[in-house]
Amino acid sequence: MKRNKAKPLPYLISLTLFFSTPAFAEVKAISRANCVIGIVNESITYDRPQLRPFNGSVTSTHTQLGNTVPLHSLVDVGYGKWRYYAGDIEDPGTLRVDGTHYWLVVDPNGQIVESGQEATSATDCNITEW
Amino acid sequence: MKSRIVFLTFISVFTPTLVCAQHTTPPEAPANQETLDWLKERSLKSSEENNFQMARGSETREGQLIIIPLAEWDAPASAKESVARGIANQSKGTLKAASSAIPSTDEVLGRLADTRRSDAELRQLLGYAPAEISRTPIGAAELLSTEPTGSIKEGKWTGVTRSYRVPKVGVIILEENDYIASGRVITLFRETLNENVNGTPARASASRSDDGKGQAELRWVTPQRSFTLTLYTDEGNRIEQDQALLLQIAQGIRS
Repeated sequence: MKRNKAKPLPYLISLTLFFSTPAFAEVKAISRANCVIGIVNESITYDRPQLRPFNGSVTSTHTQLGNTVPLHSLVDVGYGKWRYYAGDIEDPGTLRVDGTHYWLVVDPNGQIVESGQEATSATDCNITEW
Repeated sequence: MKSRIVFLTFISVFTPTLVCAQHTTPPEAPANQETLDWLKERSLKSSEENNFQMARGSETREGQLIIIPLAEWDAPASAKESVARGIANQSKGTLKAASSAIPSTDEVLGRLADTRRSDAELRQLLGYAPAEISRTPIGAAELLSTEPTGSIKEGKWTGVTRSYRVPKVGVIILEENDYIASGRVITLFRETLNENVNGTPARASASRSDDGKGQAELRWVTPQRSFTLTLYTDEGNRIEQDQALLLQIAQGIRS
């Protein structure tokens, strides 16, 4: 189901991925739907402001509102990154985005010390005031 | 106001990508492929279960803290071996890090957003009162930044990250998250819990880099909130005292 067509946003982000100091990351999880003129659908697992790397995975499942069968699921998995991204800008219609996030927190030597998981969902851009 | 809200939300995810291209220290122990495959499998399986629940119109997402012996962790051998190596390293005391592996306090400051919210504002934004820190050593410290953390539930972030400058020490960052509200499942391994905060098991770590910088961390999870305290200093030779300071702060926090 995963398409090979160019995805500018994920590519832009992957080009700027980097490693930082391993540490006890307090992981954040978010999904967004119909974002930025209605075309961005994504789930992200990340750490900020400290940008600590962890081992993680994120699955972003995109389903048209009113349907129960998803259009597709996108996955990102890896180690030593502070940000895991699964998303695209190509889906038709208005969507619901469901994210599943798994992560393994590592210590300053890169050894696993904790595991976490969370599910997120969105039918809008999840814009909140802060 | 609307444009400001949009800006702040996007900056929370995208700005670090741009700011931190200069830090390029890889972790010393890459995850085993077996562990990555397991992570991916779990994520996909959970996604399928999620879709099934959605089709049935039922979704139950309750936060939970699980503390288990390492032997009981349902994970591949490579993941368990990594935890065991970490425990062995920790037992030797302060960890040694390569030059530039720990950021300077200036680098940490450069990553922080300049948004600063009062406790009253945080109460509004979070929907609960953030942990009380006034009786701790950071109670009178300069607040540098407040940023959201955790995840968004019913339009509100479930946690907050507060960063402080402490003279003669460095930068101290306190993260707290209502993991129950966010539906987060946290699994801690009993053998990694080498400290306690007012009776709550905690995990402590300190490291010093070859170029003289230091980093200390303290992690503990109460029945309602998860907390992480991180300290960055340019004077790594005194990181052990700084580690004691973190414990003192944690013990004074009221939530």
